[in-house]
Amino acid sequence: MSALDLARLQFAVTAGIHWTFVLVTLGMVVWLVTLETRAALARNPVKRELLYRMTRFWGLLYVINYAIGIASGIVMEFQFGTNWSGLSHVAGSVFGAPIAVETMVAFAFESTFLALWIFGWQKLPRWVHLGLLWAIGASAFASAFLVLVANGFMHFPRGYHMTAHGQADLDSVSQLLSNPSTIIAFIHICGAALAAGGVVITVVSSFHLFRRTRDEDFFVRSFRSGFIMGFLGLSTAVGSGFPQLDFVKEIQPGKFDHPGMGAFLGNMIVIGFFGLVIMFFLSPVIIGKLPAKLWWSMPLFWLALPLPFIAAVLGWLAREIGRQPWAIYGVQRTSDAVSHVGVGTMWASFAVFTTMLVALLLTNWWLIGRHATRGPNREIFGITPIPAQRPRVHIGGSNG
Amino acid sequence: MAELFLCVLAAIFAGYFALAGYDYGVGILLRRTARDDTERRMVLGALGPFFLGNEVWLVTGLGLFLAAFPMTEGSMLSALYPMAFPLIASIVVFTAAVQVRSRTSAARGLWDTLIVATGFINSFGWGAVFGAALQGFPVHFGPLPILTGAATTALFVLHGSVLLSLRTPIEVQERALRIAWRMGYAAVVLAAVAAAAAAVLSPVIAQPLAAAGGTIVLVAVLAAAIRLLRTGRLGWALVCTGAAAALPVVITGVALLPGPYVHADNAGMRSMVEAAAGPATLDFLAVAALPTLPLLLGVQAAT
Ligand code: HDD
Ligand code: HEM
Ligand code: HEM
Repeated sequence: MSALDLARLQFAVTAGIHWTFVLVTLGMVVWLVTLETRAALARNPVKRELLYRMTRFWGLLYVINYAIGIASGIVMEFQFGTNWSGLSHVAGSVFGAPIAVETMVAFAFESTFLALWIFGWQKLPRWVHLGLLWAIGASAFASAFLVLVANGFMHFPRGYHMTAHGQADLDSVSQLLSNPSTIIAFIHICGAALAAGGVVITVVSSFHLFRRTRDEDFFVRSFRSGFIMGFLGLSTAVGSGFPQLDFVKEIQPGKFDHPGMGAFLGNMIVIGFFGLVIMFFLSPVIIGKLPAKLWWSMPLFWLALPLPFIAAVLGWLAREIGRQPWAIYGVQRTSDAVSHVGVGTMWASFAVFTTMLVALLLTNWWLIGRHATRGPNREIFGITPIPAQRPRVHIGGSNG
Repeated sequence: MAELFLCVLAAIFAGYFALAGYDYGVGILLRRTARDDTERRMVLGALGPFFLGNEVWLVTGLGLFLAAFPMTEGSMLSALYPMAFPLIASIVVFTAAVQVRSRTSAARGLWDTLIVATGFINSFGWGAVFGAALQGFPVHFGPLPILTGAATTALFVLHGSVLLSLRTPIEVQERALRIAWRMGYAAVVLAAVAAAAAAVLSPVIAQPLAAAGGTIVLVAVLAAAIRLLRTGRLGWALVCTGAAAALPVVITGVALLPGPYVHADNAGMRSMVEAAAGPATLDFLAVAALPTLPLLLGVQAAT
């Protein structure tokens, strides 16, 4: 393998792994915002306590994923400088800007707000605490949008001109931000993230329902919401997927003619389409207490866990490999974008980063699995819940 | 405009070292200052809720570097490849190990070992990067990176030990204070030796006076820290050691000005400012990115 092949493989592996963290982040944050907003608005103290308890349980899952995933983002950012210096030479001035703004506005804010949110339980006024969560959600989606601005430019470059030094100079920020390749991918990705988040919630809930743990109400509600979220997400992904296909055929003609590309795209479409049909027919299961009554059928839902992640990685493989041989479509070839680095060094860094990120990914799912199976009846964020039946006098996060 | 971004970049990296410097120092000291699991948790607890907040400045700095000086970023990082990639790997492992250790009781011994080892690699590695930049590109082996690496290691350990003596209960505090006293002198000596070696060995220092001035400030700040430690004013000592941890990157950068030079494909060598991103990009960054910095600082300082 040449240094170029290795650099490409390394990008594919690291981006793919980063992406599985991101999917959970984006999906879960929507769910958390919904939960805590409803908790803050709830009048009935029993219901309010339940919703806060749900926020904390699912919130810790989010925090674990974020804390472990942060490292994968750092690797992504370094890679542009180390492996793809040709890219920054030619287009860094256009394409570095959204990435920089991503890290400053979204990433830096998100981790700061998240720390305040974690340590603010029972310390901050209820509405301030909720506001922090909204800010976390906004940062996460802003972050996703901004990387897609960089990526959209690579697929459909516009809003720039070439200088005498052979570099792209940014002309129009608004053209950069309103790139249709970015916007349509963003909608599709929001759908994918909701689908993945919904599936994670459904699967964890079905585990507890199957074991018939005592938090029936907690997990019936979670199961229902997860199912609805997954369904909405999947509909969004499928609904935006076909227009995206038409658009891509227009800006990158012949992209999906290669048989390999067809396979990536085809399998994603199969998962999306059949997933939607199956969910549609299964949807009566969310009525009333049925998820608890049908506890024995719950293991069936576990099978869904890998599907949204597989579909989402396949989608990226189609999008990115299909762009070859261009790094920036029609502007710079991938072979001109790669750094002048020896094969040996590339091998070493590929091996080290892959091992490390795979280890992070496994650690993440192990920690998430442990947290999920231990359930909500324990101290989380410094608050120990009182058994579900009795109403509480002091309500978590609301003494303001 | 490009000059403004150069200053902002210097400030961000200085901030990163002032904060992450104690993370790495505390990491190195994890086993020396804490005997059992409870104490170790106290030691890591001293890093506070903003542990991730410190790495934020590195990620922010790199992002801004890429956006405002894409040519320099690409050339420098790919030239520094053999050093940059073990360093990134080690920073990632350090961050993850601290996170994982506080979330599970399994394999604590392994995580502790990883924290100590990567804390050391991070501290030494950053100094070595400065040394390599001062030797000039392409990077090659030499005594300078080793001396500068030793100097930053001492600075970060000092910084970490002062933080621990400020934020831990009495038993740990005593051990940390003893280390801080000894490290103070070691840091002065190692920083001076590294600076002298750079003056002799570096062919690329363009601003010898400014670099010498910076080194004098560094030694003065360290001397002040030692005095403050003696008189028990630990808060001020921490400010001084933070400044000392931040100074090497500033001194290295200033010494190389107006470089580091990069090779522009059609136009020969250009200085960092000449090779900055175009005006529309810098305007966009100035509007979208810069205003968030003071805000973020404010939030972090308030807590
Ligand atoms: C849960 C995940 C998921 C599901 C069910 C689908 N997709 Fe998708 N797809 C993605 C997750 C995804 C993705 C990972 O989010 C991608 C990668 C880049 C992007 O914009 O979204 C993607 C890319 C992507 C592309 C490539 C765009 C390009 O080359 O620029 C096309 C044409 C489609 N999708 C079309 C579809 C269709 C027609 C679907 C259903 C019938 C579908 N996707 C379901
Ligand atoms: C479509 C692909 C990607 C999407 C949707 C995406 C989105 C996100 C999101 C939502 C987060 C977590 C939330 C946050 O920190 O605000 C995140 C984190 C991050 N991303 Fe990505 N990202 C993608 C690819 C990339 C790429 C290519 C880079 C390289 C520049 C990158 C760099 C980062 C960094 C530095 C972080 C912070 C660390 C972390 O939380 O993991 N991401 N990304
Ligand atoms: C997180 C989801 C992503 C995945 C799974 C992904 C996947 C891939 C894959 C498979 C390749 C290798 C293509 C090949 O060599 O044939 C690649 C290349 C690349 N991607 Fe992505 N990508 C993602 C997001 C992004 C984003 C958001 C950006 C830009 C900001 C980006 C920039 C690049 C670059 C620079 C390369 C190397 C040059 C090239 O091969 O064209 N990727 N990616």
